[in-house]
Amino acid sequence: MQLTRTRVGISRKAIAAGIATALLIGGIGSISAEAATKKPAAKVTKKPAAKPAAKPAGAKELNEFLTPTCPAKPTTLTIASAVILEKPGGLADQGNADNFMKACPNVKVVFIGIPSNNLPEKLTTMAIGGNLPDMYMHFTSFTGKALQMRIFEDLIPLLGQDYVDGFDPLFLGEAIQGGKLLWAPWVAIPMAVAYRKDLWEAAGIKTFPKTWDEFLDVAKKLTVDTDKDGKMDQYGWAMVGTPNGSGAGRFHSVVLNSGAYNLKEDTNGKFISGASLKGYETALQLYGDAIKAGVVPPGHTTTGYPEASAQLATGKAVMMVTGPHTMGIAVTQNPSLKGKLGGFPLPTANGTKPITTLGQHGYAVSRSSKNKEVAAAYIKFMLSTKQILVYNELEYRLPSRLKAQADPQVAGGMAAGFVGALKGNVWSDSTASFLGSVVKVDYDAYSEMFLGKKTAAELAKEADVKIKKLIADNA
Amino acid sequence: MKSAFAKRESRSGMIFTIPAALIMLGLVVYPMLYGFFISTQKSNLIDKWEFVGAKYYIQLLTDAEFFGTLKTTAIFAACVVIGNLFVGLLLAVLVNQKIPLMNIFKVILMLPWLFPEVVVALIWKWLFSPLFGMFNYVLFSLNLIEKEVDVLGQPGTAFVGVVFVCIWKGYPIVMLMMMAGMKNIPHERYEAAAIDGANKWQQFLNVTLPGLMPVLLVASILETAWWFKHFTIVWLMTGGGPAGATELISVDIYLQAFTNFNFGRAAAESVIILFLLMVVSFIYSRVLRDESQ
Repeated sequence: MQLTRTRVGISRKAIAAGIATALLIGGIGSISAEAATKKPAAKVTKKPAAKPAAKPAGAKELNEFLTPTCPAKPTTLTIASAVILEKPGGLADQGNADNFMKACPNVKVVFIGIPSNNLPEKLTTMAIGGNLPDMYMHFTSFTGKALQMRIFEDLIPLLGQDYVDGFDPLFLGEAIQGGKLLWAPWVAIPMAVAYRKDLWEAAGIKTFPKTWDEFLDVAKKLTVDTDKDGKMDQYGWAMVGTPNGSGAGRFHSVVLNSGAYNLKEDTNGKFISGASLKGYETALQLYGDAIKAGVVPPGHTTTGYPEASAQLATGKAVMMVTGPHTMGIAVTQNPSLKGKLGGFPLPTANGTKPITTLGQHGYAVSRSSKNKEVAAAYIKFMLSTKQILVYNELEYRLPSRLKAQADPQVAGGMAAGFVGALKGNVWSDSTASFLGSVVKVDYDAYSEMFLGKKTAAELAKEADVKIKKLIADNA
Repeated sequence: MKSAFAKRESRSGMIFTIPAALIMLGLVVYPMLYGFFISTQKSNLIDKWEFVGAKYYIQLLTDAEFFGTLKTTAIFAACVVIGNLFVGLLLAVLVNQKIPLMNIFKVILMLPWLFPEVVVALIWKWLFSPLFGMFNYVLFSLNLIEKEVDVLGQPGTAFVGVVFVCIWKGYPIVMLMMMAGMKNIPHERYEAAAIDGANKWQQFLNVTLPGLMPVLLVASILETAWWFKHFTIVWLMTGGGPAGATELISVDIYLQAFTNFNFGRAAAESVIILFLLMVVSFIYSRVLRDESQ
């Protein structure tokens, strides 16, 4: 090849310097990319159910599972995790592994870090390639694909029915499919509204908004030019407007609380679209109105979960539709916020009982794993009250185990509003394997709403047509 | 009748060709055939295989959205390829001049090519950020705008934005190829042109450009194939949005496979793109070869 042999006059030293600079900047960029990982979509579905009152589980749990039965020979347990990459949650994940390895010195726990927004795709690729690790993190949005690929081990026989009974039934409602426990629930992030108490009080607001109209009014009051330089520097709503699962999950929570949904299964198990319901249009209209009213910081179309969390942490915005984990992230970014954040249930279209989503995740054991018993021991260890409360303390996520839920740390303090949100109705996700495409329909709809070229009614109609086409194509 | 020596030589040639042929079969032909096979299946790629024939091809060829995505991709690829060829050629001509410290400029101009695409996408995404980005800061400082410009938030500007970043990332390799091509043009041709009274512009048009035609052909084919299939920068900067304004065929294939879990349709799209690119390559080779002759 003549071209490649031709000298082009760049000296070797100069090339070396260029490559070194690029590698250095590339390294920094990679770290930034990792730090910018986002949370997955909130989940969708039917089955409203009231959260049962917490009841204490067996008192023996605390001691029993902190001293696991260790394997006789050296074992490496591989775990695909999204939490391990996150701050501060990764500390809990790593802490579980470190403590387990202390308890079982012949077990080596190796994490495979995968950003949560990429987890379904990576797991799908791993499953197809036959490279699934012993355990993998399961978000409910992955349920449809996991069922299609049949990659999970039923955890009921592995963990034992007595142990399974110690989970909150609300969590099990999503994790048990066809009589099989697909994953061991770890924590949940009930969707509500996180807010800055200090800025809220400074604005003199006394009550939480019950309807979306009130929410918009409050957002307007919180949008102020604090330094009187003619430019707004505090906004009411840190809206996640990116076209991805993080944005769509939050939008769907607004849809649910406006009286609609995107996709669900009817009583005959048939998928039906809910975008033709008035609530879908109402939710789109709210998004459009909020942008028009200027209560959302500029750049909403590229404001993802990390950016919106940063807006809350820095006081650039005061409210955010999210789960309690955002408070953990905000406090990590700005430690002075400890005690200054709170949550309240999502408003609804007409002030009725709000609906939240669990947004739970946990660990599944691969059907192909050769270390299923060790994986089961690890799950029980990490879900022991002591270990699970570490994660709760860091990110305010609601533990899945009834015994841990009874701890005063869980329902008090900044997390109270989020735990309170579970007193309303809870929607679980659909198990459609094409749910991801339905989520895309949602974010396409609000992305177009931002442009203001079509009405909410037109966009809702288009979304309905698209969802029905997806149902037909995937029948 | 062939002599025994000729026969033996022919057989030896075939034997020596077998390893290369096997590698080609394993690494090129097999994946392509497997991709075509998947496009005829409704499958989870693990244990579910259901033959559906040409169902996905028919679905695609009767889907207006697919053609809309193809059109977006074609415009995107055309803009980026033309931009890369123009900027690459322009800079190659400039850095080919005998100017002091030109090697430093060459290294600086090569830097975008050395960055990973992920880094490029994230850097520019932040630069374009309406809240924290340098782009808006500069426009504000120069009093050119009164309100933040959300470059990646509007369909028109988002498309221009990703095209700009792809050109920024892609021109160095074209520049490098052009610089290499220029070194291959005999100096005597320039001397002859100068004796004939040609000025610099005429020398460029009548000596440099014709001399670069083989390089231009290779660069055009490679660039078109590369940017037609491009995914990373667009996905990371806009995710195909806003409102599908930057949804390229590669983004659609990814979404079909990993979001919609429809590997058959994704594979069918890939096969169609393969044929389209083969046609484009053929047209390029005909047009540019004829011109060079």
